[in-house]
Amino acid sequence: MIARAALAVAALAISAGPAAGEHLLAGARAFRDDKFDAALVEFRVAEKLGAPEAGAYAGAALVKLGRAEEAVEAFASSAPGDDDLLDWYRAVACYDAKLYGCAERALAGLDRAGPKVAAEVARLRGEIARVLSPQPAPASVDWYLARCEARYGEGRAALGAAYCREAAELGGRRPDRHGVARANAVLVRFEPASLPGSKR
Amino acid sequence: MKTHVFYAGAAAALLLSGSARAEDPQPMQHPQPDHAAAHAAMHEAMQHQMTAPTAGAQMPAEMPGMPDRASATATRGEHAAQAQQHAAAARELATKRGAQDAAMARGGNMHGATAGAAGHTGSGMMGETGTSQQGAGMMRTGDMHGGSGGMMPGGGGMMGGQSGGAGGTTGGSGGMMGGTTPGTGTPASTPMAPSTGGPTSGPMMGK
Repeated sequence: MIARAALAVAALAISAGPAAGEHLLAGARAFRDDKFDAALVEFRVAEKLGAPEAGAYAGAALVKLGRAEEAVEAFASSAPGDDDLLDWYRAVACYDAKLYGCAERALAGLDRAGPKVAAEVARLRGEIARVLSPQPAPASVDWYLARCEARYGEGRAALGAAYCREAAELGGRRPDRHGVARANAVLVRFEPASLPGSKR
Repeated sequence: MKTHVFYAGAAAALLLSGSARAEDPQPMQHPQPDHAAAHAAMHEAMQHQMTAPTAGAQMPAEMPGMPDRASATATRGEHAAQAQQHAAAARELATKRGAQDAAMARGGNMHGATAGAAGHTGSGMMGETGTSQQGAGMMRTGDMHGGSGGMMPGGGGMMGGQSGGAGGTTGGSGGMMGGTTPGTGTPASTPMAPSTGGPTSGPMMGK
């Protein structure tokens, strides 16, 4: 049994070997040269070949392509906190998808970034603080709930969950906790392990 | 003795490998060296692209679901589209009626020609010669700036042009009522064009 598992791991390592690396490298070059479409294709291929970091790189390419929701989905395959640069792109993906709580969490870990990054981080955090400072209106919570349910309906569970978490967080800041129960019910129904306090 | 030498050698090797690892500049260990190269290249690329503006991140944050500037703009856009539709409908009607009136004028069953000849305003609206055909033709050009007076040949057009025309598209329709009825139109809420509405100063004033 152990031998079989070891063989499977070895096979996986081999499959994510040179070929995946080449696609990652090609994707990185395309990304640098502003060819984000080409970069995305390379990263998707590398992901299929088993390169674990390719999903997040695809997320960065999707951010540059302005496809925020898809980027959020791509970043869902990895946890924040491993890589500052990727966390920056993750934050932008969340911000562009109006997932401000998600963006704030990703940005909060970038306090020690370099001066260039720090200025951008401060700017985005200021924007987020401005929009989150007033008590959320029920209509806003409902907007997130509607998105959540729509995305779940489309089979996009990670994105749906992100919207429901946002709805639960916003609703939780209201005295009447508008929408919190509904958001949690959706989260529990689709992802029993996922609760509003989770990291993503 | 041999054992001691072996242990000392092993310890030295361990120390050396440990110090080498401590100096390793790579932030992340990659099992495949080409992945490490790709990772480094991607990091460099991501850093490079950070300075390039990303469209979405440049936009100010806004809470969805709220009546905001964007939706207000959309509403204004809808109003403008509606007003445009009304203008097109009125224009179509005007063209139709203008053509009817022109036909009537050709048949001699009208008083517009005389009014057009006698009244100065008539010549303003209908063109230099003030014929009913020209009046209808003017309407076919489509603009409603006080010109809906052209509905009726001659005098009808004058009245509409003077009074109703000031209101823009809606007011102009007053001109369709004929020479005896001044235009009763109210000023349109979304002016399609500035309408001066004076007897001789309108943009439609013919040469």
